[in-house]
Amino acid sequence: MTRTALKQRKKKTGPGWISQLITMFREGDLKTRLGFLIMGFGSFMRGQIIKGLLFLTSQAIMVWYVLGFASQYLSKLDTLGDIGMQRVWSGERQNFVRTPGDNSLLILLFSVMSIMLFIAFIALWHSSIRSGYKAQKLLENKKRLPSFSDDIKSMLNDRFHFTLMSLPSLMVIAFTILPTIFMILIAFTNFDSKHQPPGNMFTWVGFENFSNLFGANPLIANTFSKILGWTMVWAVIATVTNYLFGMLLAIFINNKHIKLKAMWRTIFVITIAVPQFVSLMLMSQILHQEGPLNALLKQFGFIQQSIPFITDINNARLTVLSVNLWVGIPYTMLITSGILMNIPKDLYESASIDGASPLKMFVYITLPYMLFITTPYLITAFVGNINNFNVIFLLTRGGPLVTEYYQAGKTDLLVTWLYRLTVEKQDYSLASTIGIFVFFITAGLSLLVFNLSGSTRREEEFQ
Amino acid sequence: MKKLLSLALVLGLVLTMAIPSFADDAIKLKLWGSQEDQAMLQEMVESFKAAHSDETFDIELGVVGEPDARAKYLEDPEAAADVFAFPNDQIVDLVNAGALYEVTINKDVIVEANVAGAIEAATVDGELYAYPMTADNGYFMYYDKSVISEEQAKSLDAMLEAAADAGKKVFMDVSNGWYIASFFLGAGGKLTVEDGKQISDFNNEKGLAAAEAIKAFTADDAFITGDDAILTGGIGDTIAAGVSGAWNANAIKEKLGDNYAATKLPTFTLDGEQVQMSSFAGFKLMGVSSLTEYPEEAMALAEYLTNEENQLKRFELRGMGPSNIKVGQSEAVQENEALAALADQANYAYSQKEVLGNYWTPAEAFGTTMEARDYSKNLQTLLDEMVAAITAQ
Amino acid sequence: MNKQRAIHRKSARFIPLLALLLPMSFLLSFIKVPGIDGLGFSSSGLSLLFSGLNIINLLPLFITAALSFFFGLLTLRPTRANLRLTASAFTLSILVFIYTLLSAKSMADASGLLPAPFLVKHLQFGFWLYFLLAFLGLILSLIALRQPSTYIVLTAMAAIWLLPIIWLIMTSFRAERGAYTPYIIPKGWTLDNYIRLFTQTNQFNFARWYLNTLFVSVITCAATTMMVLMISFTFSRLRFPSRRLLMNIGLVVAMFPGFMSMIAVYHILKAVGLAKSLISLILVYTGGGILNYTIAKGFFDTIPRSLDEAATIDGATKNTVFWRITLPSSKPIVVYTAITAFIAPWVDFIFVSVIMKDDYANYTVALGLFRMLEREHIYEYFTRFTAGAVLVAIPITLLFIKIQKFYVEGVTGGAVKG
Repeated sequence: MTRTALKQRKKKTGPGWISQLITMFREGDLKTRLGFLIMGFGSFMRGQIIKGLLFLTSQAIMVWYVLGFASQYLSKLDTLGDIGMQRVWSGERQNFVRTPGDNSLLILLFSVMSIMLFIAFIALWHSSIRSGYKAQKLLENKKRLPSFSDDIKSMLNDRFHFTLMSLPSLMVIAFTILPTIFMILIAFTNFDSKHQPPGNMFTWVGFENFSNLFGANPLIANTFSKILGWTMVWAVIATVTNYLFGMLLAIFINNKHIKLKAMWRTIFVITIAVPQFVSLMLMSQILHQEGPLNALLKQFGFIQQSIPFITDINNARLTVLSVNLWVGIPYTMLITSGILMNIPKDLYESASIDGASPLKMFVYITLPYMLFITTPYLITAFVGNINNFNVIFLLTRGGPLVTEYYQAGKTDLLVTWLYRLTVEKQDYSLASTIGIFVFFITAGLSLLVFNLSGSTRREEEFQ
Repeated sequence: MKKLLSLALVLGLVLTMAIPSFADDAIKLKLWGSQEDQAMLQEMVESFKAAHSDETFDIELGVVGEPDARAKYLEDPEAAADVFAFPNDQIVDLVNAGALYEVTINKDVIVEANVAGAIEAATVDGELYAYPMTADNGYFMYYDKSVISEEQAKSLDAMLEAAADAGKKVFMDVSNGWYIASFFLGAGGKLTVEDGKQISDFNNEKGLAAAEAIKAFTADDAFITGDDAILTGGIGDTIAAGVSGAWNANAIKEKLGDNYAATKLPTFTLDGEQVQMSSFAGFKLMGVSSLTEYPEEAMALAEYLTNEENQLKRFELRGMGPSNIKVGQSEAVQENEALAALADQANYAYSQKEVLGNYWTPAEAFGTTMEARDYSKNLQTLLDEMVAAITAQ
Repeated sequence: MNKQRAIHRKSARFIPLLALLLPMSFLLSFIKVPGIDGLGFSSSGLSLLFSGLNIINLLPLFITAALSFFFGLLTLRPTRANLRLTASAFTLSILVFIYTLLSAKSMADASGLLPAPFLVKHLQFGFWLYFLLAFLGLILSLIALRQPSTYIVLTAMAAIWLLPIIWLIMTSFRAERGAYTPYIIPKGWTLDNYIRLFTQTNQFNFARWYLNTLFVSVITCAATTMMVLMISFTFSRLRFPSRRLLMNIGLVVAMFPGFMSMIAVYHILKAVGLAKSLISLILVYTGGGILNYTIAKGFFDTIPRSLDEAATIDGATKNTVFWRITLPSSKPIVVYTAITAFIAPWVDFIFVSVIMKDDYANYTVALGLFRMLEREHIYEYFTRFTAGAVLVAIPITLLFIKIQKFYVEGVTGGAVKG
């Protein structure tokens, strides 16, 4: 059976790789079949020695890993640990002797890691069999087997994507995917301050956290819905204002009569270059009840009492939105100014001949053009604002706190709320449930836009 | 992609297995203390090593301030310190989390040497879990003698009036559970722990009266709030008096000079009557991690760091109030105005042990609402919400 | 080219009138206002004029008013030169106005006659009129010169954006300790904050943190840039099964709140024996930075494929295409990716705190500076924090200014075209 035939089969039957295995077993000779048990056997026996040995080594490592490390964690995955911390009185030492108990966190983390490794191992196993099978077929057809150096060469050409992607993928799997799966699983446990190492264990609780969030616990559910509401309001306003004002600034600077364009741009770029935590902490100092801005206003005599910029609910919300403008406008200015220059000039010329005002030209020419081009950027910005941790955390820490919320304040976004829940309350399971929710919103939105928008549809257009 | 994934993970696996391990004879201990204490702790550690020269100690100092101890410890108990300092309101949580070793060696000596309150604060369910280190984790009133007289400093209303006359303010961080409690507790409110759960009656009639007093105080034009930086920055200048603790004594003394004064908290008006403001009495304790590899040695270190000699050193170098009875009776401590004020206030203070982690945020929220003078909800509703959040879960 | 543009005569005609009103408004400031609000202010405005101290303080206002008046009259004959002079005079008037406003408190205190808020409450009318007139005058002169009046908007915006930075720099030279001062301009100036940042290292070792950060960011920058380019090239140029799926995974996988995953990352690093090390920071930042490939991919999409194809026909492998054709034509995106990766370690304080925990020696500047602002340190360390912040901001700012052009080209090429 040829490769194309294999492919066609794949389309017809369910999971292709299983039927592939069946076919390879049925059609394979003894060497290939032994490869099912001893990895690399099929390749090794046909002269692809290095390749075969590599497969065999990986099998050995896997066996060693499972027996030596993974089994102790995987065996406890169902309960996430059952032996607590022990203490025994020792008369000789006049003291208790403590032995640490099971650590639910490590059990879960290493179990997830082991399962992922196991899946990877299955894939490797599969490819080792296929390699042996392919060698068999090539020999049957009297063709030359690719040598190890041929394989290496193909890594730089036909399978260049493999070469380029392997290291980055390893990093992403280790530092993003594995941790994310772990945190998602935490949402189905009762990991909180009362169930954490070293003294206590946590265990699976099913969908309890989700039901708490969506109504079973009125305090949490109410807080969640209110904060979700504000998060959305914030994200919409912050994105739109930043976009519009940033574009206006770019238009101002791009005006052909303005001199020293580079200088103006640089002034605003400086604020990008100052690290956000510095400029935002600074802003929170400046806007503080007793900070310099209030001092200045009092000095002028405009006010007698300090204005509570960040302690009054409405002021605080207005303040975070304004400061976000301060932070965000220079970025938008930088990004849009390049595109603005690309708008076809004749559009403006014909409009000005018709006597259109600058405002009209902005609304009818600039804005539609920019919206069309920058939709992906806008969505990225929107998603970024939903998760805009820095501005809220450094400016108000989510405050002003209110009694009707569960551990949250009126400017808290979902992301800052769950920061407080994890760092201050160690309420990991609830936080991770909220995290999943945020993840669904942002990921869904991004997938939708990126797959429908021009940027992906038109990616082939330069071919 | 599958192949790629597998190869990548096998690589990772090899790395995992290559954990280096070293054998070493020295007794390795880690000690946590706050940033400002580092130099002092280093000195104490050196003398501890000298006193135990028969063994080799390798003692590492880590910077984790007492307020963060619980959170930092629980982030990763294995990597946490063997010996660490914490305020006593964290002890119940720490014991529940299985973080602390019971003190059994030399227990009688320790109990005898320290004031009863400190021992009580370090005891959970009849077992001693930590070594008392200081008895100064409470607060009282600092004031500017040139603005407020000793007599006026006895009542909050008189203080506000005097400050207003001078165009100055009275400082208290009402949006902070630790301080705001002095009104509720002063009015006779309860904040206790039953079966590991927080119980509070701050929303009953007395609580409401206390809330009214808080409302009146925060609505006063002479009231000012903020954190320590506001007080230390403004006292003597725009601020005439402020509620804070012994850790600010030096900064405030420096600013006020001869006009420096400290006293117990004043009385406040509750339902038309003058009632003494209460407070939390806190102690700082030193505990030994239950995961330590060398429990006896760690205990020896903790005991040494909190003994008479070192408590005296703490007082001399950092102005910390001792829990050790002998040091407390020494002349120098007796003459310290801030500590004297704290001792006065101790008569009206409540144990901070009965406060669990859930209390702080709702209490702060209530204070914030009062400070913002946001009266869109009536006080009873706010109190009900606050208590519901405090007792939640 | 501006020279060819004629003067806008209609607006030039009003300028002399404004110039006449300006000194009058100044004098208005000294007209006696009967006691408002029962504050009992009754001293004659004119007597103030003659009190020596105030003449010195108000002299700049008076001089600029006179200047504006003089040049304003010149514009009765509106030539370009005259108009330019007038515009400068009005600008000067506005600046002097702001200066006077800022020093109002000390003026009031020095005169000993007036309550502090006098500027707003009593002499305000003429004073603010002065500002309004100077402002109007400036706009009119600009219109007459056919210069965009957006200059004024830009200047105002630039002020809003720069003032906090200026305040940061001033505070870093402030001699008085403490975070909040009821005044803006420091009473005493000193270099101590900078010096102590490097000499008092037993508690906060700034120099060490700085080197840590530099080390981490240089390596992170190199590693991330390489990997991002690799991924972007793969997704943009190579076609292989499950490409779309991988792209989508890459897009969303980083959207789970990062600091929560950090708990798991910390334990993974600990299991490998790397916790609390600078290497682990490099790994974490690189691992996070890799996923910012969308912009670079978008940029690669815009490079014509015909080049690759021509090379392939000549027998080049995909490896050669990547190094010899795609990379050389991608300077902007390389620079953009490199800057973004370089900056990450300088600004993050969350990840590094999860990884380093109590290990102060391995902190980066961001976390170190952040620690200085904690409750128990802020009084002592605030001015040193600002000094440190300036030292962190300087290299990044210079970097940004230097390569602004590439940054803009890279980000506009990749983020939005395509």
